[in-house]
Amino acid sequence: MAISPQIERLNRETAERRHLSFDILWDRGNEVAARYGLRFRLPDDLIAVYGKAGIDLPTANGDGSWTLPMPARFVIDRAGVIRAADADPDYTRRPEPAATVRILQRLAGS
Amino acid sequence: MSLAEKLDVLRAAAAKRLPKESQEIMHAATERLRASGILAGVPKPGTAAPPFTLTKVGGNSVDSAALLARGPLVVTFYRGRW
Repeated sequence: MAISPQIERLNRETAERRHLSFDILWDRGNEVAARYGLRFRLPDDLIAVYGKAGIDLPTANGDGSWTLPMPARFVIDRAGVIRAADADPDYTRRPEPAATVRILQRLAGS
Repeated sequence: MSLAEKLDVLRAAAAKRLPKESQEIMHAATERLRASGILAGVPKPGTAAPPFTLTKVGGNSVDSAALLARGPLVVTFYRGRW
C-alpha cells in the first residue's frame, strides 16, 4: 500500500492513471507519517521555491501545515514487527523493489 | 534499468529544468533535514510497527492490524504526484 498526504481526488487520479493494484491511503496532515518518524515541515525558503514552481501543497493535501513525509518503505511481518525500514530525506533515493521482494520471499518461506 | 538508474535520469532532468537557485535551496533543505538527525526517529527493523487506520480511495477504512492478520505488509510513504 502507499500512504500519501494528498487528498482523495488526487490519489484516485494517480491510482487510475497508473492502474495500481494496491491502495493509496490518505494520511491527512501526515499524522501516520509522524508516528513513523517521517514528518517534517518545509522551511520558508523551500516553500517559496514550491510557490515559484506552482506546487500548491495546501490545496493538494487539504491542510495548511506545509508538512511532508520523508519518502520511506517498510516491510512489516504478520506479528506487526518491522523487518525492513528505508527512509531518506532525498526523494530521489529509494530502495530497489527487488530487495523488497527478496525480503517478502524470505518471510513467505518462514 | 534499476530503480536507482531511473531515478538518476529523473534527477538529471530536473536539474536541467529547475532554476539553479531553486535547486540550491532544495538541496540545502534536504541536507539540513538529514543533519537534523530526523532519521534516528524512524522505527528500526525488529521494533513494533506503529498501527494505523486510514481511508483509501473510495472512502473505505483500511486498518493495518486487520491486514497483517492476512499477511505481511509493504508500506510506502510518498509525497504526491506533483
